[in-house]
Amino acid sequence: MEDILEAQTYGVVAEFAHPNEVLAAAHKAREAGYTVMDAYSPVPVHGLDEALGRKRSILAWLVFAGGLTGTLTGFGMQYWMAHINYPWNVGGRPTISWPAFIPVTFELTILFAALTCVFGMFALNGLPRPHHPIFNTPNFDRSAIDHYFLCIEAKDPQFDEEKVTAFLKECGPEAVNTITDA
Amino acid sequence: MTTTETDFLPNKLKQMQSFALIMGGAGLAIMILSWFAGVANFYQGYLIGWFLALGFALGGLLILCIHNLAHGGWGFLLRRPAEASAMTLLPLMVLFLPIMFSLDALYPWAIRDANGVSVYATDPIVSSKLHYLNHSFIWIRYFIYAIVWVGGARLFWTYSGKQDETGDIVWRQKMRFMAGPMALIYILTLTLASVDFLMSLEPQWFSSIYGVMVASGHMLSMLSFGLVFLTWLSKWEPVKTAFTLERQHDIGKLLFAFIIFWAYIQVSQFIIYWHANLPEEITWYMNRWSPGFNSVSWILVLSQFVVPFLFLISRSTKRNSKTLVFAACFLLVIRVVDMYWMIAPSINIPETRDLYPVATKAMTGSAIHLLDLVGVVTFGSLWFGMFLYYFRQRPILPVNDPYFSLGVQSKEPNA
Repeated sequence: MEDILEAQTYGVVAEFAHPNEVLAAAHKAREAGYTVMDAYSPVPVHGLDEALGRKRSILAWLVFAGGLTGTLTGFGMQYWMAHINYPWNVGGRPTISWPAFIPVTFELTILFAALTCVFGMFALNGLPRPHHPIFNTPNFDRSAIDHYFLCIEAKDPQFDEEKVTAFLKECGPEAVNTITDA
Repeated sequence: MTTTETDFLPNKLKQMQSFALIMGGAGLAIMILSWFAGVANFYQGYLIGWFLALGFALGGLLILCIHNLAHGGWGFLLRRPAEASAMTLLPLMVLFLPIMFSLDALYPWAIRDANGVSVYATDPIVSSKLHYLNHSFIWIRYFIYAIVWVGGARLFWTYSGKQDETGDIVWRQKMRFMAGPMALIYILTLTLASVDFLMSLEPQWFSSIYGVMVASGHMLSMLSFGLVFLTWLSKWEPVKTAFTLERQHDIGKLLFAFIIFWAYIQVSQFIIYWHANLPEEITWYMNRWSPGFNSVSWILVLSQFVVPFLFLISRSTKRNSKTLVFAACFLLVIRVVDMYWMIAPSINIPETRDLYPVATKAMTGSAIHLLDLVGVVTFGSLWFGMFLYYFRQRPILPVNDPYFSLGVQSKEPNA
């Protein structure tokens, strides 16, 4: 039991005072071959995603698929109701009067796309999540105020605590800490 | 960033201006000759061409209003093209005078019998509209439109020029102050002008969303043109540095938004008339659904909404200069089809001919005529030449705007 409860190293975190420093550190880390890392910042730092080697999120495709599902659902539902389930003569129009179907089809497209966008974003971010090991970092409150953090995680194939600590210290941080996931 | 330019670009723009004006002048000569020869289709071609050019000019005015209210970085790049485009309103309003002097050749309500009474005086639907649609009132409105539009364009142009000289923030504030009221006045006058000069081609028909439909088309015109023009200019400094991928993406997104907006407005109008299916309302669509014109309707639905929507929905096509410019050029061509679709079916009324006592004078032409194309080329060239005339007078980028560096550079990656 003790083995399971024992805290595992989550990663090594460097704390920076300036956005350009964390950006430069991320670039250096990627050049050094690290792949599993994340940065934490109080404001958007342009170019940081690219520096971390982040790929474009697949969220856009999910939203497109969600919207398309909404279109088909909206149109299919009305088609089924008006043409198959309960055909009804409205003003002598054909039962498949597609112009009348447009508003609901449009609304369901937007609804499905918007819901996919919100919940897809949650799912891709792994939310909701009550706790994250990064909060074990000393002084991490300042990531919401004025400091910038870069974490090279233990999952990285090249991860070696001493080497990573030495590497991050070269990037001019305020502090470097090893954190655990407990 | 500096505005130092080699002599190459100014000379190139000057050459293009001369070429465009010569083309436009030649086209205008053909139009005038055909008028003397009594070709009935002269008016249809003239109106299609004129409204196409008006779309760029008023689209420019609206972009100036939005830019000065919203302050986006994209607006600093479009500002000079939009200003120059809006300045062409003065010559364009003068070029509308031939239509004003021969209203009865195009607009059925303007046709009077031997006693000087409108032929619609006894028409149950149109007779009550004759308080609005009559010769003296439309002249008053024409002058109001001309004063408001040309005045708005001139004010933006003057303030912007003053700011270029002084760099004083007060001119920025003045432009911002007038942008809100101007946007309001713009949409009011444009709605009325669309009713007067486009919708009243079918005087029995009415639609309250019509002006917004025309305005969304104007934005499509000017944004497409802006993208093509800026991309061409970005071969050289200073636009090369300023027209970054982010800026291109911004304008691409705006263009995409207005494609959706146009379709939304069209569908809003269509659903209401389709549902009600009233004889006096449905005529507009019946005319556009008659044999021949129905294929134009299909082309428009597919080419101004479905295809560009699916093409531009992806981020990568909006961030690729080649695909985005391709889409913009395509839309510029479709703008011609849109203007033709708005105007020609109303003039060559096949469906309503039996329903309403339309006078014959305007209806003697054919649905599509070589002069339609001449009109488009004439006004396209004339507008482009006039546009370049104004565009060449100022530095290409408003570098003395206090917000310029902030707006243009802030969103760039700082790596």
